[in-house]
Amino acid sequence: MGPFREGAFRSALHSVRNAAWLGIALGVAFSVCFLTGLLSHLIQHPPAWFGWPARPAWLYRVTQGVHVATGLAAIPLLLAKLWVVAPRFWTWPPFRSRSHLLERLTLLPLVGGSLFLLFTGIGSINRFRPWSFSFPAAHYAAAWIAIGGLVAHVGAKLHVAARALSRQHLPETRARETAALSRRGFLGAAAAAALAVTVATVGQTLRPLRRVSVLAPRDPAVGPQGVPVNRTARSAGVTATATSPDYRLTVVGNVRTPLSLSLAELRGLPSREADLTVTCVDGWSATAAWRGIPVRDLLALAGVGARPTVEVVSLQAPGSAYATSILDADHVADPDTLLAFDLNGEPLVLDHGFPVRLIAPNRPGVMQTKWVTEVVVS
Amino acid sequence: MSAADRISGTEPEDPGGRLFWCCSVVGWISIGFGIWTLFARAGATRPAGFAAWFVGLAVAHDLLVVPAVSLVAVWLVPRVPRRVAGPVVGAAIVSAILALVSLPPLLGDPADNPSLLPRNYVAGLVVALVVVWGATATWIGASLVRRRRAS
Repeated sequence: MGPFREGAFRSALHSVRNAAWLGIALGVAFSVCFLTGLLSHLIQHPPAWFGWPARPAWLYRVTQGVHVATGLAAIPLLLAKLWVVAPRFWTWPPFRSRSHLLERLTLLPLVGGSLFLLFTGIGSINRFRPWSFSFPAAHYAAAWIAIGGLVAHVGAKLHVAARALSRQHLPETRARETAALSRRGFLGAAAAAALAVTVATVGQTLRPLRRVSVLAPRDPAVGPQGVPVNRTARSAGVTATATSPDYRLTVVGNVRTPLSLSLAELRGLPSREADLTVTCVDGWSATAAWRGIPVRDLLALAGVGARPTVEVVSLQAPGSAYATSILDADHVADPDTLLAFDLNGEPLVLDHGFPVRLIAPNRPGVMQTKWVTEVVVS
Repeated sequence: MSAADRISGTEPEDPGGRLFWCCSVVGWISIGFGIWTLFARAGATRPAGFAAWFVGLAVAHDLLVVPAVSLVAVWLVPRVPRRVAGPVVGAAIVSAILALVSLPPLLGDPADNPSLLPRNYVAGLVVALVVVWGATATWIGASLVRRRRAS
């Protein structure tokens, strides 16, 4: 009876072939999202065995741009896939055997996890966060749950998909309620929707498309000094300390000569300009000309000879998110790793990290610490 | 049409074989690690809130989205002239997805940051829909002309 009736869903749109094509597309999309997301996690929370190089400078921009763009494109693909297999949810009896029960149990981590990841992802990049958990921590846990569900599901369905796609001539069915759209037409619409979502948002990192991407949460050219801001000085609570005449940049820790420099003294040192990209974990990126003191030159002034690891400390309250970041030896050694005070030929504005901020190649934006006051050499 | 071509009805066979069991083991280890992470960092992940969204989204999809889309489809499809039904329904699907994707920027809170959500997203959605339906109308027009020439 009702949806449990044999043949209750007769539309060709619910064919195994469509499920297979959409499944392949989603399998690829979720694998790409998982790997690029895991990479971003490792860069921000590196275990002892993991090292992330300073070069090529564009690499993180590409991996994180792909992570967000692929996740957005997966939204229509996931909804199309769920539409195709919706009749399956009503299978009666709900399971026939132990292996069938196991296969069906993996659908909760798979479907729940997929919806959770895409919903929290698109919500977070748009600062629509109607939840109580921390987004990165929850998104990370859900990623392992969903990818596990995906692996188990692939094991159960690979041969079904292969068989469905190996048939050369499948009769187009006489469909009832959705006769309007053929099986291929439905796939085409899903692909067109994925393309439309991509074009409407990818300009947040692909600058030539910035005017076309009418639904992007960022425009890489909109922001103070032509560069977007992720966190303002006011929300970071640093307005008073960053503008104080008592500001000093200190270099301490394992150094021969501890340094304490005013902004004027810092500006008096030989500086360097580099075109570097701010790449936000939210998937936008913007390249600009930054001028400042290379960290390695500053360390040389302090009498640091070897290639140390360095902690860069902000004026933000200790313990608040992203108040400090670690520069590994490879980034310390790179001449383009700057403590910058100019952006596009002008002094940094407060929201970009005045008086001094860290900017280095191939790093997530949350690790490009702003309002830097201390460099601790270990 | 054979049973295997259909998703509805009974599956011809139960899952099994080495691939199924290997993938199940690996998959559930990963799921277990995710759940362990969830509780190991409970202060940040808030397992109760996490579970509510995790299950809630799936239930909302099955019990609200699918029936709602079905109702719209049942209402819309008979009202579209048959000759143009394919492109019109396809464009309706693309439009619905674009509308859905425009909701987070409309609901998002840029707080004190003018470079966050800097656009007029209602206007952006309207422009996107105009492009989609303009392209669809062109497609329909071209295919009608082609059909007339052929006959």
